[in-house]
Amino acid sequence: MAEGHVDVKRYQIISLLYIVFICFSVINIKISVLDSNSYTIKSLQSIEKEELKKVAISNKIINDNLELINRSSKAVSYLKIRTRLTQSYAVVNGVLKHVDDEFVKEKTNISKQFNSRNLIEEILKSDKGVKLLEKDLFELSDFIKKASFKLDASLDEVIPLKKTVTTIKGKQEEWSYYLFFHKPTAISYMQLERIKLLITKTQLLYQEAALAEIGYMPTYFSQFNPKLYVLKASVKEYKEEDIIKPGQKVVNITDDVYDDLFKKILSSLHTENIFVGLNNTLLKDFDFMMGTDFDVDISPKVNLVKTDKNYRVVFNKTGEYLLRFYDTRRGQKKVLFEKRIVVNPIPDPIVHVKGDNLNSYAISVKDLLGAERLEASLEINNLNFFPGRINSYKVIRIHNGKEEESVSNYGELFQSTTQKVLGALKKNDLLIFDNVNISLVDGSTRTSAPIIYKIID
Amino acid sequence: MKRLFFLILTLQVITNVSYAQDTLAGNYSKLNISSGKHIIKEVVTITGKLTVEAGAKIEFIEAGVLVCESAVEIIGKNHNIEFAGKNKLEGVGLIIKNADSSQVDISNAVFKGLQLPIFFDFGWKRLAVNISDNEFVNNIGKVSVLQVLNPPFNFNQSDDYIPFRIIHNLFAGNNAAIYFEDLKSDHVKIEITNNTFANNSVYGFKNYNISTNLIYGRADQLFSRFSAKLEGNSFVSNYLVDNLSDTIVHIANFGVYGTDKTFDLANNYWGFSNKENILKDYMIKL
Repeated sequence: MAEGHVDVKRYQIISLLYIVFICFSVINIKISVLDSNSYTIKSLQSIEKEELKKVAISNKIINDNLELINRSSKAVSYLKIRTRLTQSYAVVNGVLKHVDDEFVKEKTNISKQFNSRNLIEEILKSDKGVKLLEKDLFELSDFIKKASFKLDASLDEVIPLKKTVTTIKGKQEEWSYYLFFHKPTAISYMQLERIKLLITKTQLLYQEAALAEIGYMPTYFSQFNPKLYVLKASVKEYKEEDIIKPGQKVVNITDDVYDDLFKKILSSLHTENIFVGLNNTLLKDFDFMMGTDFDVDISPKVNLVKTDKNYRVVFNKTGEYLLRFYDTRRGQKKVLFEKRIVVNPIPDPIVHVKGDNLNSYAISVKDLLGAERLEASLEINNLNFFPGRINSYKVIRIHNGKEEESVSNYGELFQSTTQKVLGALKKNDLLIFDNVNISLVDGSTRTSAPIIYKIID
Repeated sequence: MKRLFFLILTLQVITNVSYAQDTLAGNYSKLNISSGKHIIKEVVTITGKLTVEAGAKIEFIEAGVLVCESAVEIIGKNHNIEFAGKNKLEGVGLIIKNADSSQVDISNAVFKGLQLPIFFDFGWKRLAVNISDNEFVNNIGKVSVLQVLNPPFNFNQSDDYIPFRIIHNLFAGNNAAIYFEDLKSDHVKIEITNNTFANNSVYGFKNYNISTNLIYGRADQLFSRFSAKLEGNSFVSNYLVDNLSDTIVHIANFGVYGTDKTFDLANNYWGFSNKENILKDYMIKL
C-alpha cells in the first residue's frame, strides 16, 4: 500500500532549503570583488607615505619661520587647525594599530580576514575603535568651523562627517554604520586608511596655506636648471634673472628692509576667497591711512572703502584683478608691491525648507505645516547672511501619481496659495518645490534643484 | 413715417455709441486708454508709456493682464477710473516690470474684483512710484493685492533709490495681503502713510505666521539705507482665515522677519487702544 505514496511535506522542506541556499549564494559578496580592495589599501598607504614627506618638509620651514608666521593672524589660525589635525591623525592611526594588534592576538591577519565581518566589527565596536574615532572627528569638524580663518577644503564633505548619512538610495544611516559596521574587513580597513590619508592631506594643505601667508610656495626645483616652477593655482615659471645667483647678496625676510607699513599690509591683506558682488574685506585691522600713508590701485578699477580699521571692496565682475600698493609717506608714490588676485563667482546656493525634521525625503505633514518659508544658504567662510533673495518658486502636489494642483509662490515665505496646497496634503502624496529662482547680489540669477518630499503621515 | 424711422435710427446709433466698448489686445509701443469702457481678455504688453484717462473703465476677464514696461500714468478724478475683474471670470490686473527711468503714478482709481491688482515683478526699476488716493476693494485673488519684489541687485554700486509711496488709499474687503520682498532696502524707500485697511481677509494655515498678515515682508541688516515708513495708517478687522475650514482664526495686520533688530510701527491705529491686544496683531521675527 505504501508504494506510490508521495511524502509532500518532505519535498516541501527540500524545496524550501533549496531556495534558502540560492538566496545565500546571491546575497554573498564575491571574494573577487573585495580582492581588488587590497590594492586600494596599498595605494592609499603609498600616497600617504609621500604626503608625510611633504608634511615633514613644510613643518621644517614653519619651525624655521615661526616668528614671522606668528605675525599673521591668518597663518596662526591655519597652524592651530594643523595642530588639531595632528591629534586626529594620531587617533585614526591608533585605531588602525588597535585593529592590527587584535588580529595578531587572534592569530590572524588582514588577508585572512578580508571577506569576514565578525572579528573586525567586534574590534571596531570596542572602546578603542570607532567610538573614539567618531568623537574625535566630529570635535575636529567643530574646531575647524569655529576657527577664524579656514580653507575651502572641507573634510566634512569628503569623509563625510554627518551624524546621519543619506545613502545613494536615500536611506538614512548612522555615521559609524555607514562607514564601518556590518562590512567585511576589506571595506572597514580601507575606510580607516582613507580617513588617515585625508587628514594627512588636509594637514599639508593648512601648512602650505600658512607658509603662503609669508610668501613660501611649493616649488619644483632642479639643481641642474636654474628655472624654478611654483605650484599655485596655475604653474608659474620664474625666469633666470628672477632667481638669486650664486654669490649674490640676499637679505633675510625678517630683516628691517621691510618696514612696519609693509609688514602690516602683508599681515592684514586677505586675498583668498574673494567673491564678486560681496563686500570683501581686503585689509583687516589696518591702522595706516589711505591717501596719507599708502595708496592702492586696483585694476580694473573698483573703490576701496574704509570702515573702522578695515578696508572693504565690492568687485563687480569676476576674473583677475591687479592690486598695486604704494608707500606715500614721504610725499612721493613709491611702489611697494603688486599682487594679482582672482575674484570668483558666487557659488550656487543651497535651498531647503526652513523647519524641523525636514531634511529627509519622507516627512510628516505636521512638520511641514510648522515651516513657513524656503531658506537659501551659501557655504562661504565668515558670511553670516545670504547675499540674495529667493524670488519665486512653484509648488506642486502629486496625488496618486497625478499632478493634483500647482501654484506659483513669490518671495521665500509660503503665501496663501502655497499654504492651501500644503494644507491639502495627504499620506503618500508627493510635494515638489520646483523652479526655485534666486537672485544674487552679483546680479546673477540661479535656479536651484527641486526639493521633493513624500508625505508619510 | 419717414421721420419716425430716422428718429429710431438716430436713437439706435446714440445707444450704440454710449455702450461702445473697446477690446485691447496684443502689444503696444504706447497706449492711451481714454474715457469709456474697455475690455482686456489676454496679456496686453505696453513697451512705452501707459496713460489711463479720467473716466476710463477697464474690465479684466480671465487671463486679462496689462504688462507695463515703462511709464504708467493713471490719474483719475474722484475715483472715476476703474480696474475691475468680470464677475466669475476675474482677470489679473497690472504688472510693472523692466528697468526704466520713467515714473509710475496711480491716483484716484478703483481696483476691484481682480486676481492680483498691482504686481511689481522682480527686476523692475523706475524713477519713482506714487500710489495715492486709490481704492482697492473686494479683490478676490489670494496671492496679493499689491506685491512688490526687489529691483535688480546689480546696481548695488549706485546711490540711486526709488521713492515708493503708498498714501491715502483704502484697502477693504480684499482676500489677500500686501507683500514687500524687502521692507528695508538700499534702493527702495518705502512710505506707507495715512491708508485705511479694513475688513480684509488673508487665507492660510490655522497657525498664524508671517505671511498670513495683511502687510508682510523682510527687514535685513543686509541693507542699511531705508527702512519702510509706516505711519498714520488704520487697521480695522483684518483677519487670518483658515484655508480648509474657511473660519476666522486670528487678527492679522502686520508681519516682519529678518536679521534687523527693530522695526518702527508707532503712530498707527491697530484696532485696539491697549498694548497687549495690539501686540497680538502683528508678528515679528527679527
